[in-house]
Amino acid sequence: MNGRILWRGALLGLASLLWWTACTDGRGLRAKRVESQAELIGGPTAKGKVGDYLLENDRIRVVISGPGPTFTAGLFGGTVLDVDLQRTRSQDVQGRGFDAFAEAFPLANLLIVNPMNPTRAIRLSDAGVRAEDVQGSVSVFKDGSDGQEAVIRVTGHSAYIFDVLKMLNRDFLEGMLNPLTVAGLELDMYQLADLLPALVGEPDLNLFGLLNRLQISFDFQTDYILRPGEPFLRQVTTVTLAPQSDRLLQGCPPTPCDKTCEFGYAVAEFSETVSGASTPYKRMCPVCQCAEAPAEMATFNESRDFFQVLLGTLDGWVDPLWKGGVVTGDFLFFGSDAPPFAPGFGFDIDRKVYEDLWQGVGTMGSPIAAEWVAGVGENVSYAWATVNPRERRGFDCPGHRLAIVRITPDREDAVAQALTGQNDLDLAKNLAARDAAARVRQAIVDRRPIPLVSVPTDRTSDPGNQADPALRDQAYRQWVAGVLSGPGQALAARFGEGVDLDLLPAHDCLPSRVLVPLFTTSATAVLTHFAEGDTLKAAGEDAPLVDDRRAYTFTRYLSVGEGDVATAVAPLYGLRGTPTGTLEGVVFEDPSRKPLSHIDVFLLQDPREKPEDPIPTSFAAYRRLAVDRFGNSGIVSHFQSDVGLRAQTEPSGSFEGPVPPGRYLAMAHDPERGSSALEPVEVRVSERSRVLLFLQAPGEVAYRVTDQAGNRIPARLSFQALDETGKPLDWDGTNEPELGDHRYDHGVRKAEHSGHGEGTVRLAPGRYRVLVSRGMEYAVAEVPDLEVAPAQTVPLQVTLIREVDTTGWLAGDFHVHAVASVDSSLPMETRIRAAVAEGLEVVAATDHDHIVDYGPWIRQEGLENFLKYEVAAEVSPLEYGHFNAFPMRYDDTAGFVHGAPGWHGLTMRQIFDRMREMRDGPPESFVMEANHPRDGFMGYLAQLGVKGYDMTRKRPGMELCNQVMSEAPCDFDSFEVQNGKNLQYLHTPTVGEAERHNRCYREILDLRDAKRLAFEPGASVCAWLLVDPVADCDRAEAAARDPALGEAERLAWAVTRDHCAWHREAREAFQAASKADGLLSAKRQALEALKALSLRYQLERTDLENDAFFNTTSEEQAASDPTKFADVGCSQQKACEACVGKRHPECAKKVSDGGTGWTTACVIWCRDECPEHDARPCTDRFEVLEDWFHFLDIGFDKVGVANSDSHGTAKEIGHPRTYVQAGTDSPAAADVRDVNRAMKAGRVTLSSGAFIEFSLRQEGTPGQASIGDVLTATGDGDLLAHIRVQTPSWYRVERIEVWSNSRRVKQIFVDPPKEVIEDFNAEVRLPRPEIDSWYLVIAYGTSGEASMSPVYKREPYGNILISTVIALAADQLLANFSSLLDKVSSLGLDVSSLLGSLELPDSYPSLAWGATNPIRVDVDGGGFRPPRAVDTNGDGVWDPPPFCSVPCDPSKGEAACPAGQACLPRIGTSGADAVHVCQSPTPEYCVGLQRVSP
Amino acid sequence: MHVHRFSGILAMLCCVPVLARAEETAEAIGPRTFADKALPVLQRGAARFEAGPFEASLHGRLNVWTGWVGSDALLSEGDPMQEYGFRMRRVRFGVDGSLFKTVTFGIEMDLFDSEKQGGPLYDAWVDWTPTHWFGFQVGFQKFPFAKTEMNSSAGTAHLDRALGVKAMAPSNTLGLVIHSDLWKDHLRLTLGVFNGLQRNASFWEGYEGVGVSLGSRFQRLAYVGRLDIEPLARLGSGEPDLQGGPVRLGLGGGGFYSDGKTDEIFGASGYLHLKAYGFHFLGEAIWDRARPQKQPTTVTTTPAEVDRVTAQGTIGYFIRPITTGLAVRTEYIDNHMDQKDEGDQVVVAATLTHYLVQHYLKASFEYQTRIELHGRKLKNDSAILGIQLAF
Repeated sequence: MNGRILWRGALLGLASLLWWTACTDGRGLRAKRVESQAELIGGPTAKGKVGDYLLENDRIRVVISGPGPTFTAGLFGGTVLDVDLQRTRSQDVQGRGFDAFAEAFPLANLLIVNPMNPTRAIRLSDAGVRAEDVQGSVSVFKDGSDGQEAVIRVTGHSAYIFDVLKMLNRDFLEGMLNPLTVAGLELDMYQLADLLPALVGEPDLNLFGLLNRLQISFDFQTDYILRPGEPFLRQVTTVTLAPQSDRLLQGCPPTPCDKTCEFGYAVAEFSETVSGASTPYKRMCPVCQCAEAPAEMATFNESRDFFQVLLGTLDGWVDPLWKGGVVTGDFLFFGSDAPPFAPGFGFDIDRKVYEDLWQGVGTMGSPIAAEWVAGVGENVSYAWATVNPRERRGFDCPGHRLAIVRITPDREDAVAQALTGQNDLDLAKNLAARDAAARVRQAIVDRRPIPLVSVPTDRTSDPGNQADPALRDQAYRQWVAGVLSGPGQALAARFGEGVDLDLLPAHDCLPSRVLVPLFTTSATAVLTHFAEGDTLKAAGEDAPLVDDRRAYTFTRYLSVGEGDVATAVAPLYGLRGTPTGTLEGVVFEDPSRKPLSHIDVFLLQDPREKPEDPIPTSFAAYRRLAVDRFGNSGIVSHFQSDVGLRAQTEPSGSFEGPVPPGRYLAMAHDPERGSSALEPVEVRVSERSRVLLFLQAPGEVAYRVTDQAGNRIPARLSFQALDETGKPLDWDGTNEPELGDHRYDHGVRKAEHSGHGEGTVRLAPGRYRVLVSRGMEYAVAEVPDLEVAPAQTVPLQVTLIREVDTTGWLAGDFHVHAVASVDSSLPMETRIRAAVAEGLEVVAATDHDHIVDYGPWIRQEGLENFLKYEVAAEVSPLEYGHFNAFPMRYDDTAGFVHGAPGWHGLTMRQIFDRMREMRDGPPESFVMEANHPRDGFMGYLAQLGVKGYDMTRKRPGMELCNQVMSEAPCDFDSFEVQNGKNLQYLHTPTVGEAERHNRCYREILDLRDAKRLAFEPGASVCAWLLVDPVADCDRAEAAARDPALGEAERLAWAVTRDHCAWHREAREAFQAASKADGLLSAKRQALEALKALSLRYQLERTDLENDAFFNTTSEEQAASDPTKFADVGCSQQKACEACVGKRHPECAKKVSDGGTGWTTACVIWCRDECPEHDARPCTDRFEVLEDWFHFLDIGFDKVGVANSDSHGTAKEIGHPRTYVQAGTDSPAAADVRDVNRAMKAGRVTLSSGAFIEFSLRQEGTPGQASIGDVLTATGDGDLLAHIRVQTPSWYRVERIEVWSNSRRVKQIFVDPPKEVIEDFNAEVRLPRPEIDSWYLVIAYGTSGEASMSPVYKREPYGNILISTVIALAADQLLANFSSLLDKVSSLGLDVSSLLGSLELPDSYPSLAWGATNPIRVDVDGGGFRPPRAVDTNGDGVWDPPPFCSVPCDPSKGEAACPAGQACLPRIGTSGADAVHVCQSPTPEYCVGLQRVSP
Repeated sequence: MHVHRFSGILAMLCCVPVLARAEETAEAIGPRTFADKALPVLQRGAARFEAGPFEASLHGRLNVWTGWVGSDALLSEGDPMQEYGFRMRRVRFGVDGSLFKTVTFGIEMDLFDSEKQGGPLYDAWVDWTPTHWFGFQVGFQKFPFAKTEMNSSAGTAHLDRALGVKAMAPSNTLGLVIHSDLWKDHLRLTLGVFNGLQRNASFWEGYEGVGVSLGSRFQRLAYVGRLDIEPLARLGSGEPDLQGGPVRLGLGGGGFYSDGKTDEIFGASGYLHLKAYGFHFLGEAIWDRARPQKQPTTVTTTPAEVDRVTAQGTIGYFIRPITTGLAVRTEYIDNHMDQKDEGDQVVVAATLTHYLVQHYLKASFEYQTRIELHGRKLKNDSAILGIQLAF
């Protein structure tokens, strides 16, 4: 030994120590506030910032956002924001990780925590009850230095994530009820309270007591906990019931008290006699009694109706001791970078939601129940679950239930009838027929059991837990068999054949599940816990009822994996005590035997009865078996070979993970290789099972796309899968979205967006039809049958001909999203390539609340000469309407949103002002655009409650309370006439269109047999839709072209011809659907056919419909003006009852009054006999075209635009698009400021396939006006409109309409072969108008020849609208309270219609449509005066529509503002600086519900 | 609008008298020994290898540019730079040589010509010319169609080739050329067959050098021929008349047909090149037509055939005493003869070049203005200083 060795040893030791120290510091357990970017996680969806909080241990890292407001979905902060594994490679640390988790935050009864909202500490004294603010916070509760736990604590009071939820506020509820109009009577809340007991038939029911029982105010405390070595985050939340309002507390009696209570005070219910009212007022007040310690909430262990917990049932309402429940869980946003996965349904939960819907089951009422849900990102994955601490098995479970577990579909009605009104079963008392029917449907569709009778566990049969487990199991099985054969058989006899009963453990004993009421691509609410069954305690005779259970605790786990489900779920198996074995395997390429990395492997539950049975030969064949046996796809888990970074560090093609024991089939799947054979594998507890899987090599298509000059051009290549006979497949084709494949529809396997027109696509071997396209100006090249073989490269070259002449016009899409938006995972590069591949020439990057600059990506892709861009943002308040602004200043230093204007806590006026502050460039080239203005929650006009026929604000319910929108600024420049491919949102539907569509829609949903798609005439609306609409269909074709007939007559025949064709097509589609493979497929096809038919009727705007729309007014005004129609919402019955009732009085009478009610026959009579009433507008769904026309009439000049709002590639960018006359057709030559100036000047034509040019001149007068111009036409000549409509050679338009002053003044039917480019190019004579008028042109097609599909796809499932969600919830709610509703209905209040959804056709072939902006005509030479314009104050500016807020003079009193508005100081101004504007006043009880900045 | 575009050119023309005066001063100082010393070194190349009948030498070329461009300038639209600042235009290295004199070869890489697809290969050919009556050359080589494209860009009187020529004349591609000096040193016939031509994504980016390693997968073959006549004396290399001397004249033309699988292209060109006593003129016109092999089924408002044309002429004078030249080039370009848009342009470039060592080491300052005859006027003028070193 010598010194050299010692030195070396010492140095080594020192180095090791330094390394260990460094690692410990960097990766040890800790909780801290983030002080530098380097401490953050980073990744595709990382949103963490300095000032947020970091939790980390040796396994994972989590960022909790600091107090808000934030630019994320959890508006208020304190949310789980970024999550990743601990990374060791130097390139993955210091803010360069792989976070793909969007966000999660707890909820209780749909309320979320706002750490900026103080919690309330109650003080009791002689002076009364006082609540003191305790500031909410996000803080480090334990920093982890003890090596045991690191904890971030978030506290705060509850808030509304959606304003609509403020209907849960007590003050609001009372405000709304005072007064309430019932059956034409206006009742104050005391009168209503007096009425309610009689209504329900329960004399003791007190309305105020009922409100007291609803849990609508909480204090939250959430601990986010990490412990050493655990790859999961514990989230322990305590919700404490808080006073419902300060107003209620102020009325509480003096309560001296010297108790100090750890968990707060109990509350008691006090009654007050109110003069003039017989029903006492009741409020809950704190009393000098300590509340109990927080109760641990029960986990949800199977699907159940959570509304029943939250709102109770009628049984509960009439129980004086009843207390409303608490349902908790989390808003869980895996985000679009981590697609969600649920066992049983794989990656396609949409399918489950829709297929349930088509079978009459809403997932709101019967939520998906899964042991866990997962999200799979790149190199990271997540799983979310809970643990039921009371889980027991066998004899250890104290109670059991005899339950119906399977019902043969043909026994559905009989079983529902057998359940109705039964009092001896564990069902609601006197189960109503509707409720029984709903439960039976859920049992059939979702395999959800119907518990009938509780059975206590028989302890005498239990050999005890000291006995041999095998013997004990045997004894248990014997006991179960005995129960089933005894009481079980007796019970089963009540239901007859086709019903299986089983003995199930009590709900408490089952493993926990998470309930997923609604799952979208990126967001859901996951419900995990509930507390019900609490009752108030009677403190003594005549003493108030006391509630001493005020707090509840619930725990959830978020575990982190490496990039597949298996690694994310593995820790949860341990937590949940699930016994597991290990599945391992390798994926090879066949025949090369090359191990393959990053291949998805799916573990499927084996549906075969016996292992010897044949193995399904494909996933499709497997799925049929699985659905039949399990009610779902049986997908158990998902692995990835060489998961995550292992593909780089140790590629071997292997995968591994824990799996519960059982028989499975394993299958590898890759979008570019297809699927492997299904390999059987059995997994036993604590044993390893191995499986080898083989995938074929992908084929390749090497393509080159040129224009006719031989230049390579960007293009989209759509590969549509063919079946064995060479016929293109439809729907998902060979894609399996459940296995993570894209859903493109029309059988499209893959869509390639090529920026430069050259490249190679990898495809699963097979036969394809290839469609090469470049938007709406080019031809489509078709390769009808391309064989792609494994490991072979097929060359493909095509030339695309530019067909549509758009000289001088730039094709723009001013509303698109990419990865910067929380609801998009589309990479920027793909967004840019897709834009040029669709032939767009200018785009605005309008990501939600992010300013985005596409410049670097466009340069990176080398596409500068193909695409100009606007630096932009979509300011996206959740419920006030969305607005685009461009160009904006991109501030690289202003966080990840780059300076996007915030909106939380601001009024609309302030939001508008902030958008302008971020303007880049002069005001004349800055554009503010109102997006999808009628889109419910997200549309400005919808949220303002603007009535389309008179432009006043209708503010029922929630809108009334919206202080943010009390001032309605209108200084935006343009608005979206068309958003996305949604043709159904152009014209306001008529009540008849809505009624017929919805009735047939329901009839299809109600079908139980595909063969019954042949509906019975007279008894079905579908049947009416499916026959010829007139008797003369045979004549129509010839008559429409008969020159001997007058023009008007020919036009009428052309309309008839089209109607006949539409019905014929629907009929044929229904016939084809009846032969479909399975009922669900038949329903889907029938719904598609119905939607296509309904859409066409909605697109066709008749003069009758148009007149009816503009003749509609409020009910009050209609009463004094017989020339007007009253607003009847969407009720065809209300619109038509009086008219139809004259000839068919039975329609106008209820069944109880000897009538028939509004039957199918009445629906049809209305259409045929009272068309002017059938044509009245459905005012619950105002749409944009009528708004636009109205605006133009009054000189409220907003430029109409059309944008795609595309978030991915399945929904194509540039469909629709806005053409701007910017003087060039070359993007390289364009200047976006010129584009914007042209746009603001209205030099815009909208194209959803049709490119329309339009100019006007007056005969005999020089001069011509183009779109956006004013034509001075002081001569006597007619107007000559030159209209040119172009479509490329693969579709056409058929109808051209000229609209003027909200009336169609010319209709032209054309019938060009679709190969013709100029579908119409002619001068059209229009009579000289008497007054100044505006003119615009609309062109569209309705036949199959006008379809742009499959190049442009339909929406595969349509859209889930908020109204649909509410309707799904309402369906269940109505079932629970059906007996009450029956009584309410007897009073004439149709609650069902209030809550029921209004469906509009939302999935149909993409039809060509287009419209121009107007040309204005000045006939008197005095400048253009819009036909209905008014200039009240003579300032030379036309009055805006009455919904717009304008400056006002308060001294003028009521005259200062339009009716319904008041002249008030603008929020944020006061005293001498007050700026008065007309506003829709917010009732006093609403103020404070929203935190509006002063 | 165009007045001040020309102002830069006028300003440079005003410099000529000043430079003429400088000439007298230079004569007084005596011969510039740097150029005299450097010329043989640069001509010989960086390294030379000889082994009996085999000779090879290493050559290189470097172009560095700096200057200003208008805010609308885009490389993909043919502008010299996209942003102001510095740009490395070319960095080339190559080897050329011969075996028994009749077999020659050249291999050259261009490390910085990122606009060209097909990797960094610029030249790779072998030529066998046993007699002036017949020879052939095979490999990746000049496409013998347009004179100004075939002339080395190192030898122009401007910073680079004319925009229209870069856009419309196929550059190096892979094929076989047969050549014959029918009248030695005066009349040359060239015939070639090449991989089919592939155009880039925009007009200004011209043709691609693809298909080098894959064969002509997409575009089948292109056929080309040209005739060059120099009736008086040989013109010598390079565009300007650096040598001075009596009148020399060159004229000729070429044509090609590219038989693409989905589109076919015809092209024709003609030129006239004159040098005399320090003056030079070079004018060339190029026309081509592309049309899809599969015609659309209907008459369209936008024609299926696309005709394009460019004509350019450059005139200049080399002031021998101060080894400085001035040249002005005017181009007319129409990238789609049926459309009147920004693609119809007149481009004027005025270039002042100081030849330190002939074309081997020179510095050029060029002001170029692009005048869009229709459509929107673009801010794409440029003022560029470029240094070239070749050896």
